[in-house]
Amino acid sequence: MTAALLLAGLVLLLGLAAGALPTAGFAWDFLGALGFSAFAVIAMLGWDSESPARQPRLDLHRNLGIAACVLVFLHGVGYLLIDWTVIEYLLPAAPGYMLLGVFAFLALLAMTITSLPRFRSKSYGTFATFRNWHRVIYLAVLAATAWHVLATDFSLASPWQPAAVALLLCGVPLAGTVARRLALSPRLTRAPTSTASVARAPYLMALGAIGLALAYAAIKQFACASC
Amino acid sequence: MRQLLSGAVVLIFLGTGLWVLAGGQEQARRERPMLPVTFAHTDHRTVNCVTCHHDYIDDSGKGLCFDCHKTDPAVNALVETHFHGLCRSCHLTLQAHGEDGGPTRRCIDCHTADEAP
Repeated sequence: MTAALLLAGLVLLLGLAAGALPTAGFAWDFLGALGFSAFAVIAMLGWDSESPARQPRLDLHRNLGIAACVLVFLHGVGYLLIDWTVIEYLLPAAPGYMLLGVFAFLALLAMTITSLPRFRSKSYGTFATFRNWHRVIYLAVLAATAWHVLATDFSLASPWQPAAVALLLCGVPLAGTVARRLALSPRLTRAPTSTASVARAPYLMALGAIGLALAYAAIKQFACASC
Repeated sequence: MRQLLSGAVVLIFLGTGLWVLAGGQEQARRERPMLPVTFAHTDHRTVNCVTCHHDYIDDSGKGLCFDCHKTDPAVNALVETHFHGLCRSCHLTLQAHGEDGGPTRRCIDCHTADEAP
């Protein structure tokens, strides 16, 4: 959880550092930051991808997926509520990078629902098939989300910011996997000890992400008071 | 159930791909009615007219901007860059210099009924 919050914070800091982009209003900045937080949680799911032999880790991974769905849902619906013209970005005539965002959300939702024990065997059959498809769909979601974030270009002002996002995106899941394979850090391979804390973690993380998004929007308002 | 689900997913992907390849999205973009746009010439008096009205000097067409930019297949795919990109880059440059640069992100700041002079 600490790593996930750190990651969400880092991604938000990229936005905070975007001094050249003026505020678009508290709600707009908050919802943008919420999208970045969701992106961070999705990347974090890759970090956690080696997990779930043991039940607490499985719960954590599943709840993280649900948290990501909720954050993305709030991000999209929030924009629609504050600015009805955003609906143009959800229609077939919308730019590709927006349609990829919609695709990423639907795919994330589908993979989360079909991965629940109740639907998993009906949807995928064997565990091996499930695991393979889960990876493929995750990579598609990650790529589509990355394209959506980078091409939308609403928050990343300077050229180094997209580069940093891309580095973070590739680096986090890769670093998690490599570290576990090489057993660089025993902490990475250790399952959480308390089931209750694991069940709570994603909710705290989602609240943390919303809190960070609020903080980002507030700081942006303060920093751009004269914009 | 599983076969049905797999079939549906494959059909959706294939259908979407074929629709895009067959020019369905471009047609949808062309046929989608324009959102209202507000633009105040009085706020843009310091900008050279030909920055936007390129047809004054390059003889690329007459009439309203969207006569070409919305319907001409040669340029309508770039409508996002030609309008959002042009407006935003100029507004951001002005704001970077501490001037009042106009909207940069919120759709409804521009896409509203035009009552401006």
